Amino acid sequence: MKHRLNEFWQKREEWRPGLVVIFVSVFILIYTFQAPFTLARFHRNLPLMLRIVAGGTFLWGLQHVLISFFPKLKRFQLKRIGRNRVSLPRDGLVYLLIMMVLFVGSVLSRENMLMLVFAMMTGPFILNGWITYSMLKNIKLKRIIPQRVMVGETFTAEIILENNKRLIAAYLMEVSDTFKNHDDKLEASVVFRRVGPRQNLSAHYYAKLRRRGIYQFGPLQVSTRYPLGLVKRGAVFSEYSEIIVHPQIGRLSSNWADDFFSIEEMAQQNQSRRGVFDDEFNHIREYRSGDSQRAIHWRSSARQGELMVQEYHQNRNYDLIIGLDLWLPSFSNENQAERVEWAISFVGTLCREHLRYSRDTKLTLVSQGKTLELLEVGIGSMGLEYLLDFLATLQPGKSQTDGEFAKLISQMSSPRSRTVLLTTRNESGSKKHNRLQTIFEQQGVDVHGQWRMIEADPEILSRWLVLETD
Amino acid sequence: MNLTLTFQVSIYLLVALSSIMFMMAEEALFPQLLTVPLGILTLFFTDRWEKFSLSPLWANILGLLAFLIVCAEFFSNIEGRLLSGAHFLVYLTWIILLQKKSDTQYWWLCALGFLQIAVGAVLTESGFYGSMLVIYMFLSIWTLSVFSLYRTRNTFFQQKSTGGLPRLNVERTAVSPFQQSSQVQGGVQSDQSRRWLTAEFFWATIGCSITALLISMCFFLLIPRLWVNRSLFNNETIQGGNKPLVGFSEKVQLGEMGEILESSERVLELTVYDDETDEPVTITEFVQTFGMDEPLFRGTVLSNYQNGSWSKVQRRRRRRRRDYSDWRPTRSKELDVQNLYRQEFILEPIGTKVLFIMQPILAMDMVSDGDNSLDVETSEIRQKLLPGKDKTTKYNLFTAKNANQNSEMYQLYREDIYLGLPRKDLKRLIRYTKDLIAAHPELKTDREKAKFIETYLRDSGEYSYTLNMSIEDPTIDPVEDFLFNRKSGHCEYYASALALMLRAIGVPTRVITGFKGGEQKYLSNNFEVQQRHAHSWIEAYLNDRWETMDATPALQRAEMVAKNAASFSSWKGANKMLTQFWHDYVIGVSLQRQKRAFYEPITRAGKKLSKQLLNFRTTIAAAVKTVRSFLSSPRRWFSWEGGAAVFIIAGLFFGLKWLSKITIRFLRFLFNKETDQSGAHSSAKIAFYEKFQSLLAKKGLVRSRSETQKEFSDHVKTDLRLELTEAQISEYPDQVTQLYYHVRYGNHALEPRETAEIQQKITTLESVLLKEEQSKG
Repeated sequence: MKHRLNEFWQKREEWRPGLVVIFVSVFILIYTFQAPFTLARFHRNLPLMLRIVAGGTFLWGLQHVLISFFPKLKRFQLKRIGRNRVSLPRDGLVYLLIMMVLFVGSVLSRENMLMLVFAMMTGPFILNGWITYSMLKNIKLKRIIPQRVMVGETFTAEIILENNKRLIAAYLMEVSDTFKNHDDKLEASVVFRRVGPRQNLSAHYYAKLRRRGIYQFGPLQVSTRYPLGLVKRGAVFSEYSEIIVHPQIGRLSSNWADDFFSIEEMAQQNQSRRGVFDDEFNHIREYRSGDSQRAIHWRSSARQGELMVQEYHQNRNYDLIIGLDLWLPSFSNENQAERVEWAISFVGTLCREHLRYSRDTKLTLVSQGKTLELLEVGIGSMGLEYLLDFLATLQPGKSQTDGEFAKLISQMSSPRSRTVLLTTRNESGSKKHNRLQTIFEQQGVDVHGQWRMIEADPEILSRWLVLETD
Repeated sequence: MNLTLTFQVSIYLLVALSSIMFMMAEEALFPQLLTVPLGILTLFFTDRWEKFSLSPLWANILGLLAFLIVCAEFFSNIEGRLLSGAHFLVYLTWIILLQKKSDTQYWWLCALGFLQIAVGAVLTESGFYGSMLVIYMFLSIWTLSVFSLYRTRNTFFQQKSTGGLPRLNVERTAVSPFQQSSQVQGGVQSDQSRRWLTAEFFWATIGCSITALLISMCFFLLIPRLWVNRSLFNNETIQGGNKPLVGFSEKVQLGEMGEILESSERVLELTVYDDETDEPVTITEFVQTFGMDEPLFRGTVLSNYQNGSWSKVQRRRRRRRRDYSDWRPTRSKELDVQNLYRQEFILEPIGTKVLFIMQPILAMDMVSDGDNSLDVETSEIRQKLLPGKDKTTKYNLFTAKNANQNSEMYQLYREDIYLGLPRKDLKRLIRYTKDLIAAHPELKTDREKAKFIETYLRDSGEYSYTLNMSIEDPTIDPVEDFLFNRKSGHCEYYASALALMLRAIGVPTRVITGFKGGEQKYLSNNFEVQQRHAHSWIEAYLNDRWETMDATPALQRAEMVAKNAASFSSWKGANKMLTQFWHDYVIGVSLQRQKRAFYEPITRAGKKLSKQLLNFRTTIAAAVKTVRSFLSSPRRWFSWEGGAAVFIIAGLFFGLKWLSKITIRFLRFLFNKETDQSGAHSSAKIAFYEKFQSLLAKKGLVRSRSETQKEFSDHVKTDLRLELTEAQISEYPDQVTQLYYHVRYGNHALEPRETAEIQQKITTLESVLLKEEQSKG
């Protein structure tokens, strides 16, 4: 037969010290009653002190034993106090000091009136501590934040305070929330005026994050000094969550289309065949002089009673390959770090524009940061979100780019694809071996189709990338 | 209500109240009175309209000036020395009032107010100040609460106005968009009302104030008055319990008594009962029965006068007659008289063995431990051992209702002692007395002569009562000094003069020290005698018995005694009670009193309870008896006892119910045989599923409570689609779940083959997920 008693016996290691403590303290307690005079020879109050000590250790041992017997009791343990943090604000300190002066004064002068003032100051002080303590009991805090935001985008975090007490309202609860990125740390706070018993209320704070990446939120700290501001007590709630901050996405200026592909496109257009076979059907329209006769859509013309032509327009869809070379030296300066951000924002923007205006095309992102990553982005918002998540957490690397990056790009490229190579290296200034250009040349790889290498210099990029500023 | 205005008005009220209270305590108008108009001015000009405020520089200069003034005050006179520090607080208050105020300044105003109140408390002891103190406490709690609101609101509003969300400005544009720093803006709870001061807040604050007052009172009453020995700081010796109270030792110097006549420390408590019915009898009633005006508590008997001090007779006879000291008062058991009053005395430890008695008496019982002895000659009753430092002595006296049955004092063994007179020192007194008697030849008997001298001293108007003890001519005997020079003094002088004058005409006399009068306590319903009731009178041996005589002007003395008690105003009843309360429980709190009022009852109750718990049987029997007697008399059902009984019974009922519930639960828990099986039923115990879950938890996929295992598996499949399809194990979650259902609900035991298989699958899954992690890392 398996009893719990058996179980307890097996746990004897846990409760044995507690039991020993209990026995010892009981022994001391009995001894103080048996031989008070012997003890009093050492000090008049020794028996009393020993009794108090023994009582304390007895309770401690009992608690120890009980908890090992009934683990469920742990929830009644004083951990709620443990997670409370008591502190005396400056006001409280001054108050306490005055109180102490009054007490000492009254004891020295045997002045009951002074003692009265002291007592009258003690009452509020203790009450303050007590109220703050009881107000913090049985409350819960929750945070609701969006999963993703963009750099520079204001978002709202909702803090919900749930007061589960039956009678006591929670007054002036200051909740502070910390959230941090690897190089950014922020603190926000909200205040709850009054949350009645069995009520839950929410407060909001607004934040605008300037660093892409993942921000860790938490823990939530609640503190209150109500009513008198003399004692501050706080509690910590392990409420953790995170938010992904996407790089800032701007828009491409018209310069981009002009500078980058249009010229070549035009050159290409000249070469390509024009007419019915060219690209994709767009719509049917009335005949204008100069239209090719081969484009006339006879059936429609018959139906309409006038000449209609089929119009085609050029297929602008192309597969875009972005090679992102995120290089940041180990001892980087601000400019270099900024280049990284510009590059990432630019890539993000480029991808979004591409995904918005092209259908059935492939978008491939090859990035060389800390690691070499290949990302094939699907169409639609899901794909974009995934890409932005990826960009948000992209870390620059300091290593020399090996050939893998170049090879991968050349593998991915096809005659129909267009390639943008974006590097944070200083292509014009720095040593020659540290240029992307050189790396490509060294490896001897060819990039098929059109391609262009851009240096992620803010001055260069700001020509194409328009970022919303506020 | 506007929060800022409310707060400002509250704090100015607080400042004004504190300065008014300080003013009252100091009984001087300057400089505190100025605070009030200054406060009103600054409220409007500095805080509301912001017309004028002191710059920090000027504030510092003024502070220095204030300090100089205080220094000047300090060195001017002794009184100024005490008050200069206090006035400095007032000056500082002014300076802060004139400044532009932030939270810090407001807080300092509060703190300075507290200090002023404290200084005021040192200067006064009036009950009025005490009630003001309560008002002040309420106001300060209100103000501090509003201050909290004000401060919090300011913190969050400042954030809103300055921090806020960044607006475009010239400087910002220069910075690249990637260099800007992140911003946050806090918020205030969102609800319909934007009000800070609500009715709930108001009531909550009032509740707080009342609670704080109660806590304060508990603190005040329970902090043990273990005063630090003042002799540490000056050479004054502390008045310990073992030092006999003046007047009750073997020797009394004239004039010493004046000191205790101004003290309101309690000496003894007394209640008189009818011994048969146990009904209390008021002292006035008792005293009137025996033809007295006021109760006299007879203590030490002094008969030897020398150089202005009275002392006891050195008893030489004592050695010769050994049994002399073994005399003791009659015990009540030994009485055959039935109609008795019982006087129950509780005597404070005042450092004397003397037991005070209110005559007439017939018998005496000691209630406290210890024995007593009776001096047959003087009828003085003493304890054999001096009681401990903190121990009260309890004893009962029995008085026959029939006055004739009580014992009388008629013993006069050594007449010469009671006629002893230092004739050399008191020539003038003797001559004066003889002349006085000779001038009234109509006085025939000793009794008439004695009464005449008593009346002369008391009622002639020539002598007045005072506690002032300045001696005019230190070269002569203090009694002569009293009789011929000062013509004013307290009871000791009157008694001494009367005793010596009577001795001068051949009447044996002795001086008695004890207490006269006392007051009925409204709260404890006891008759209480305090040190200020100390009195001395004489007994003269007239007509073969000792007769009590008192030359002290009763009315003047009573006035003085009353003055040293409390000042009564016209609306007596409640006011008197309040004053008494104030004096008993505020001004006069001492360790002994605390012991008697709080500590002892508590320990006594504890002891009683433990004793009762120890002999459980008798308790139960007594309880049953009480309940039975209660139930058998329906009249008692509808009384407070009935209410209490219902309360107790209901409490017991619920307590028992709760106890049985707990016990049942405990037993069930203790002897639960199916620990393992029951555990196995919870999903957590199916090992492979547990592992599966923990694996996914690492990936951030945790099954929520409301989710079934099937749903969870679907959820996993969508979330990990990429990885799972890549590794071609997309059906694994389903398989695991299915197996789980089999085991969990189908009572299906896993075969070894299945176990191996599922183990394999989970390992694969693990490797896939881990690989994912590694590649990411």
